[in-house]
Amino acid sequence: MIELCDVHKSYGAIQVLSDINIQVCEGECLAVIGKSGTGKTTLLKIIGTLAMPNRGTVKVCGVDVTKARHKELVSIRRSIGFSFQQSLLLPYMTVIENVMLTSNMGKKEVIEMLDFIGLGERINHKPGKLSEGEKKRADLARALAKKPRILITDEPFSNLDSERIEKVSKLINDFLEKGRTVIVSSTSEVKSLNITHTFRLNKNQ
Amino acid sequence: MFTVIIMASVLSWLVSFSMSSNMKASVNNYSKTLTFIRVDHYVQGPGINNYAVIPSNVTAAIESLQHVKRLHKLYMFYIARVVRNTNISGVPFENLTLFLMDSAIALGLSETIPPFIIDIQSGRLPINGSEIAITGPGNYYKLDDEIEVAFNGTITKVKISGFLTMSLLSPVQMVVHKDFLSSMPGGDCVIDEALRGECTVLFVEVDDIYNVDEVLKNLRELIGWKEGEGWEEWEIRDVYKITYDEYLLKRTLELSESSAFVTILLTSGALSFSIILIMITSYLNINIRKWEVGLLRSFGLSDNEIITAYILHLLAVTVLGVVAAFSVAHIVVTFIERLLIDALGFGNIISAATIELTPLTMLLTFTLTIVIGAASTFITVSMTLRKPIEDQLREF
Repeated sequence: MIELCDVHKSYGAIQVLSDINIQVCEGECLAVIGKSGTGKTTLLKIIGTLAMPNRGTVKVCGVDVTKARHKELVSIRRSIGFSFQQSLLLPYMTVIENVMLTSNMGKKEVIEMLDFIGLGERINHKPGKLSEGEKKRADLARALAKKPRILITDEPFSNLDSERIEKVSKLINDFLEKGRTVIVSSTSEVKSLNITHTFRLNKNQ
Repeated sequence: MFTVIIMASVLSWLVSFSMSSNMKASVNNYSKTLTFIRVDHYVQGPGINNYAVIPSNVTAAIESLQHVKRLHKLYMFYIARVVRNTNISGVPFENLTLFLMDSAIALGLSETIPPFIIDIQSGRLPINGSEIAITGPGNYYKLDDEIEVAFNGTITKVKISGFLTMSLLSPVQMVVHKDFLSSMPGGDCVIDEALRGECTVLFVEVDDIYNVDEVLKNLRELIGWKEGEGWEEWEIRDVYKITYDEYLLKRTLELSESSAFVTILLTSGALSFSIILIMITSYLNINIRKWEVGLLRSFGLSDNEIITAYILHLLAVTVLGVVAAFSVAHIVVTFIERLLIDALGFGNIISAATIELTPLTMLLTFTLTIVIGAASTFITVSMTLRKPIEDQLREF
């Protein structure tokens, strides 16, 4: 499903990732663990085809994204749900509008999901009026509503209390149970998720 | 930011409107001037014998030119003589353009006949002089105004429709359109049987606008004006010669041309400004939201889909801009027109050099805005799409 081979990534003189080798099969959950600044987000972006490595190969759904054509990349991105670290919600749209933007779910199903993660009363609010935790959950809901083959979520539990962590974890685990693939990053161990593999990133890796 | 974009769009639309209308006005002035020169030919040729047949657009051109000339202290005197055939009295009035009354011989400010209005409610031309309602001099009205006039010895309310004294200097003009006459039962007979009438227009440059009476007096001498109690006459041929004096004609054309060129020059400036404004608006609209482009790409939208989405967005904003600008422009133009009529006494000035919000003008400006906006949107989005997604997302 996902295969990274000898991946290197640097920004100018700063080397962020080097010699990364990862393999994730369909239905598995990979946790990328590392402290801040170790390149977790960069790695997730590379897997999500939002960034390209300087060296190495990245295969997603059998396609080498480093050599893929525009159409192939578009097709891969459509099969990925990406939940960003900074919660990239369109500021002039409400929560429900943001989630429905790429949704493959019906509105009712989306509302139920938002309600489950504690955003039921916030669906008509714009991102400017949400807390960081709420934005985070809305962003994750948007990624899940897309019904992707692969869910990539960057630090999904940041700014969340234990109750919310539990609910968000249930959503992700339910997604996994459907045979889908999950890549999750975190600064600490993720015990609430059914992790298949753990990949630890150090500062100079 | 969205508000700023809307406002910029409205502003650019306003500029576009004024730009297109100015262009139209200047071109019209120019072409109407040419048409105007042919007026005499038309009258002298196969036109209606009894009535000076001036197409309505030519009459409008004369009015329009008059405004331009006023700015240059060049006054237009409309000298006309039509022997009215009683055969035409009482014909239905609809579809008429302007009908030149035999008693409506007026020369500039010194016109002895005050502005008068025909009651069109009766739906026909006046049968005799008693049907001509007279208002006091110095009153100016616009179309559709309802005024009280002495009519057949009683005070009557009439609605002005189609003709009245257009300005300080023009006389009342009514001209029956040849096509209309031909279409009337017996209209061809009227044409054949009627006496020959003539009219022409004379432009005179007046240095001192308070000395128009003196100029008029001289003009009358030139054209052999004679008048007595209840009658007046002059040599038509003399008028013809004077009117087409080469100097005056040349001078008139020069002024028209220079006015047209100045207007076109200003218009070009407005056009350039408008284009730049629209382009900047489009550029800012996309550039400040680069991360949004990145986000759309991350969702799996293709480049074409993203470009289309932004162009559709521009279209929506433009439509809003059109509605807003049209409303604002309408209010502003109405206000200016009202001000000119009420406060300054200029009637119908709007036909000369003003904003004309015609469907064609709107369509042209709308198309222009869309084309420029779409082109600049396309270029800006295409440039943005060349950058890596991660760079765009970093702009958040």
